[in-house]
Amino acid sequence: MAAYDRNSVQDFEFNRELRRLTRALTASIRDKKQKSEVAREYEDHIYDAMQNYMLGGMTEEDAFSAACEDLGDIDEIAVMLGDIHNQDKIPADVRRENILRWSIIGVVSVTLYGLLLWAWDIFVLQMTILIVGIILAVNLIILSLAYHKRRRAMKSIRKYAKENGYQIQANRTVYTSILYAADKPSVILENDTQYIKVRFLATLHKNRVLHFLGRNVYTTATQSGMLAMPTPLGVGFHSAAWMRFMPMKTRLVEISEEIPIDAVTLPTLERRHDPRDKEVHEVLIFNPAPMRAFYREGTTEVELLGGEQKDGVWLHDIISFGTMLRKLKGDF
Amino acid sequence: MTINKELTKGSMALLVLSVLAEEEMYGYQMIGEINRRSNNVFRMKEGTLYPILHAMVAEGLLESYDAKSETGRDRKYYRITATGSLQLKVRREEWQVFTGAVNRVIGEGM
Repeated sequence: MAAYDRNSVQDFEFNRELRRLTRALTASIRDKKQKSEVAREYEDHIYDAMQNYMLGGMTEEDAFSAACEDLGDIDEIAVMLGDIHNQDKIPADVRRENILRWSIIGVVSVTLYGLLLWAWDIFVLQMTILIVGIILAVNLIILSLAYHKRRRAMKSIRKYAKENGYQIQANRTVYTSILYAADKPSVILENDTQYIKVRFLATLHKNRVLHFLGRNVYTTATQSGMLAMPTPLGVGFHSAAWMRFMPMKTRLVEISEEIPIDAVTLPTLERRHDPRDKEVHEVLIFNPAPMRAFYREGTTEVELLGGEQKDGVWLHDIISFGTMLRKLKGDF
Repeated sequence: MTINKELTKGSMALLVLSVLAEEEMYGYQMIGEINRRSNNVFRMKEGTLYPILHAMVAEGLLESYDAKSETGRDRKYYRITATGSLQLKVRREEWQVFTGAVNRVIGEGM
């Protein structure tokens, strides 16, 4: 099929034809929400195109046909839309990592259960197994709570953005965790400008930032967001030492960042308590300043600039940061 | 004169980034602007613009948001991100190198 072929047997009925057209265009998109959003965009396009043609004297029916003709091959567009909108949201390497994480938890749980049955009457072994089991259970509970806390925070952030006319996307709001994950944040004064200076370690896989490693927390950067997870009792699969056991090849880099704190033009959305220095740091979902970060490998230091300005406010996110990192490292 | 479809296809992202670097626009407006600036040389199949835009949003080069247009209708607008601006700079440079090289090659035979 080339251009859209409307049903010429029946009388022209605009809404019916428009629905038929958008159904054909979005036929390959699996997600219902995306399907309806894309359909709406094409509807708007058709309305605009028809309005132009009708101003030139065409009838509604002819204008619709001309607008459809201008669209091009409907099947080809449908395939293109399907390719884009049906992609897996979780990158393959992150998915592999999740599989590994849950496999380890599963194997350890089964082993512990077996040992517990076998050595029930050996007190020392029994206690050891119980303690390790409790540590693992506490970790799992805390991970789960941290995840749900973050989801609630993101919900309120989205509500705030909507009420105040800011545009955010789910995968662009991951910056909140950076300060939480940073090692020894400090406030410095330089050239009359105050900064919160943070340094943290990040693991890279194929030059994409996978994790930011802190002493007591780690964060996982995924396309769907970043999870900040406390790792009490020193147990966590994402410490720098553990990364060597990951199935993908990763490496550590040190990233430092300076965030001016005197340019805050937006209300603080959330406050997070840093357990290490007993201070409360303000964590902004909208960073008010352009991000300057330095990526160091060996003796070479590369400066990264990130973010974009809108209405005098700088917005940025770790996705663009990661993308820039990839770009600078030539893996684009 | 109409331009080979493949040539236009390869440069669509650059064209989109270039027009969005100056103004936030919705799809139909973008098509009009590209046609106007190119004196209708790039008369693209309009429906193929949206998959390109959506892919660029997924790559973080663009962002989309809903807003009312001048006519009062709700529209999905697109704007360039910082990554997109960086990408535009890189692609412009690539384009200069590419066209310069092609010109030098075809110039030799003329």
